[in-house]
Amino acid sequence: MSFPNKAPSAGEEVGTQRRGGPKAVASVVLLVLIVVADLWVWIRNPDDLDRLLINLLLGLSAFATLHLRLLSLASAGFAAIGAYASAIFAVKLGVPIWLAMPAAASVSALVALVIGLPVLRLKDVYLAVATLGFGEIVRVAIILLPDLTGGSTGANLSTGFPYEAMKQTHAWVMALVLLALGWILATTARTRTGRALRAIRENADAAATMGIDVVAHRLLSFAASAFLAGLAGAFYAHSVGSLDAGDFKFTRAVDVLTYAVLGGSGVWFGPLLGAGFLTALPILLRDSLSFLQNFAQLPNIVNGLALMLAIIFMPGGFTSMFEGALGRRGGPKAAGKAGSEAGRARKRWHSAPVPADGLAETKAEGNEPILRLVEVSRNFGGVEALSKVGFDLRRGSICGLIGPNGAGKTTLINAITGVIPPSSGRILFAGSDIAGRPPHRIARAGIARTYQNIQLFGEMSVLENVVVGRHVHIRTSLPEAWLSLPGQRREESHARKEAHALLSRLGLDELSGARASTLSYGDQRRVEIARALAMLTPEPGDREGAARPQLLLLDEPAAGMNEAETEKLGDFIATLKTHGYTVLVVEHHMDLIMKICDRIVVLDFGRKIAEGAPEEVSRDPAVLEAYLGGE
Amino acid sequence: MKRIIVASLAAALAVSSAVALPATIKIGAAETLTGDNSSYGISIKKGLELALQEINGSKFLGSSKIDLIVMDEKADKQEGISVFNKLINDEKVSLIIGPTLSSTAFAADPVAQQAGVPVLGTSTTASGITDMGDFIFRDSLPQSAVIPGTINKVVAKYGVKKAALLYESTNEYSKSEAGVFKSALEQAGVQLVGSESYQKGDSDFRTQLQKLSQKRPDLYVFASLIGEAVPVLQQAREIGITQPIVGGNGFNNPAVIKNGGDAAEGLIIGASWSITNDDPKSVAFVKAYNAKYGNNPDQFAAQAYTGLWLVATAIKNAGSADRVAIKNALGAIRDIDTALGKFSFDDHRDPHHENAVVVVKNGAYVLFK
Repeated sequence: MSFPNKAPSAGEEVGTQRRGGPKAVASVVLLVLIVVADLWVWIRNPDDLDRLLINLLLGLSAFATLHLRLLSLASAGFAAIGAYASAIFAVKLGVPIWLAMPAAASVSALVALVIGLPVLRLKDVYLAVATLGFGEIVRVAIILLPDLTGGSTGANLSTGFPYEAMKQTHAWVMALVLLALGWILATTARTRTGRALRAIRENADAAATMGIDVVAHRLLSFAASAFLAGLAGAFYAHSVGSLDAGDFKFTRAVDVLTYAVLGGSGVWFGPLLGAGFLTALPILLRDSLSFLQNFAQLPNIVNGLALMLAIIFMPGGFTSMFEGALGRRGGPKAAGKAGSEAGRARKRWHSAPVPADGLAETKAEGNEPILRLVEVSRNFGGVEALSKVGFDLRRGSICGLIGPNGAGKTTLINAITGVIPPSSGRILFAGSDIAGRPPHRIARAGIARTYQNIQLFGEMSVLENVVVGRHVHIRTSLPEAWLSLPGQRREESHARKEAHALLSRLGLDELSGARASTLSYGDQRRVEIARALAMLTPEPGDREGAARPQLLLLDEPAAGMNEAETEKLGDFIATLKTHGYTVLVVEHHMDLIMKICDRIVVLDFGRKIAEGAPEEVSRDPAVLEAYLGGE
Repeated sequence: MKRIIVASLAAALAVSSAVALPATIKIGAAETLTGDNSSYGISIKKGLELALQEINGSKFLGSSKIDLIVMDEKADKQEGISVFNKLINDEKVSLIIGPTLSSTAFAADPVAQQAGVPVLGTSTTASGITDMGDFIFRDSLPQSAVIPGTINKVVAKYGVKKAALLYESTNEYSKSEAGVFKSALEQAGVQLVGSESYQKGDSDFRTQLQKLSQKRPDLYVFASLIGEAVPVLQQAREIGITQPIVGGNGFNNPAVIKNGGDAAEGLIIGASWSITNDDPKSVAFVKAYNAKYGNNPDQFAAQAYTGLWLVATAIKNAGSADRVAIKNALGAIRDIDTALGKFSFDDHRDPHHENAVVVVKNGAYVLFK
């Protein structure tokens, strides 16, 4: 196994460096215990290896969806599809088993792609119920297709499935396949895709405005989960040699969910630990309590009790103990002391000379408007949050967007970035209408933003947050990343370098290893700015990229900052202008707005009431009335 | 010379095994003791333990005792495989009784077949169970064997010439049951004058019943699941059908008597065993079961009880606890008296005994004679 980016800098990623501590020791002991228990169970009874492998595969399948916080209960349904498809391929069509199984798993994945589009729009419990319904449909379909499946009585000799041809276990091959799949998942976690998935897990809306196609990633994960469940089902079919609809009941899906809940769904091996534990424990209990013949329920009760205790004492699952041990640090230089470090970092920001790199020279040629809003409106029910707002933004300028609370400033930024598309009107960015496009497309076109309510990927490190911003610039495909080709490593380390440079500019490099949620309010705002800039900044040497328009939307960037910090921020924004960026900034700090803006647009009750140079706007009677209250 | 030595060795072994059964003979039982289907497994366990008590108590095997190891297979295929492996490899049992459900048997029995351990199912009725190999036996009559016996008795008593059939066409079980009814009637020389079907969820069967009654059959045969059994019976009586009615397995349920009321009177059903059976072994079993557990046995207890007695008989006949010897002796069992009646294994290791036919009279099952 080789993990890319395990250079010294890897320590900055939350979750890769382990430090001692009672919890970490306990979790290692637990891990070893589970592995030993499973080995023991398997050595005593080799047939139990099949069972373990099937459950481990199902555990991986649960990870693939739960990692994105998709509460899917479709695993039993996908396992059923894989099982029956493999049985039909192998027995009815005579396909060799090693081909039939992956083919069957692919059938599951295809079905997932088809049902995923409508189903993945749902969230939480609604998704759970919808996927539960899917599982039931599969079960009923099995019963209603007796020619294909043997109907309610099942697929075995009696219904034309020759038993011997179906029952073939290849446990060793499966064990290798499982290792390979685990390696792929582990490796994926360290790639651009893995980072994008973590970002979606942390904050799907923010991920979309970083150019990440959230729907595609969710669909891909759902299909991967279905593939793994389908493979488990196919292996099950050939392991037990007979199938009926009762094998894929709802309770099976709940079992699979339990693997992930018990093991922890944040890290790929969490559900594996859960599956290993829940497979070995009942077998060990059965064998050790077998003298209690008249208490058949006892092993079940002890099993349930162990499960309850485990959940109570490890609410985040087994792997949460690792994370717990990690939470107190965060990197070689930070987190535990995040507060004091932050203070020092901030001081350093004030005094440090602005480093030269980190920002690209984008070519701000010509004076054409980069953004043109034409009669942009947005209704919420009967309320008009925006009413026919129109203005131009010149390339390479800084424009202030001000107005009283509730004037529609954030709504306008949401409309431009596609988070809440406008009800009507046109939004022309570099000449093309982007109104109503999905947020990730708009982001890729060259519009980045920060949020009034901070939307960082809280559990990721500061550096990772900024590297997510580089998502659209990293071109390596997933298979290339799995192979860890030199090009991929170069790209990754370059992305990190860029991110470090940006963080240095914003005086945050000291905090790059800290968990983002541990930072102070003002620091978090600057991380958001760094992240947004990371997305906008083209790769060096990318002439086309440098020529592309770059628009940065800052929604109250100075909120939570003190006067000195605000001033420094103003200088920074002004620097952006000299580098060719166009900035639209929403702010309540009037000093800041007056100092840095070329033009100011004033909104009130969703309408534009004034527009012009700062000194014009500050004298405008309509503006004064809006701010001072109609006197 | 060599042949003589081998022959005398074999003879010596045969003699020694005939006289020396081991002090304890381990028999495994893998049954569903927990979960949705545990009521079957618990009945089975009671039947087995009653037989165990009688066999060991009466010194049926001389000074040898049977050690019965009951394990829970949870009606789960993987657990079934796991439990079979444990019984075979760790406990080194001579034979396994079980598992409870046919679906588990399809997964677990091949493990025993491969290891050369005989299996006796006492509740598995699906077709194809004994096709899994020459070590796989069962003493549970499948529905396909119960129906012909029932039809024959009814035809003989009433001199039936013409019969009519109503069945549910949307379910595998009723469809296959209807097929068995058809061939049983044909075998008995009865003409099938009408055959009608309905779909799951239908609530009005009068049209089909009217059509059938116009053909003036002497016998009605219904293959329904429990959901439709009572309305089918009630509507048949409503439109004036007074001829004998034979119901399929869906009617073999106390709820039919309870909810059917007067309409259920005269309903004839077949079962592998009934508590009303009057042969001495059956009566003795019911009495002993009642004395031990304080309630009446069901068909599963009777089949399990008989199963362990069959195993003990095979061990006695074989004079050995050897797996192959027991298998051969089991397969040779013919015409012995058991709680299920006069019992034989056929050449395909399936059971052969007269099944019970009962009729509802005054709101209770009585033996059909």
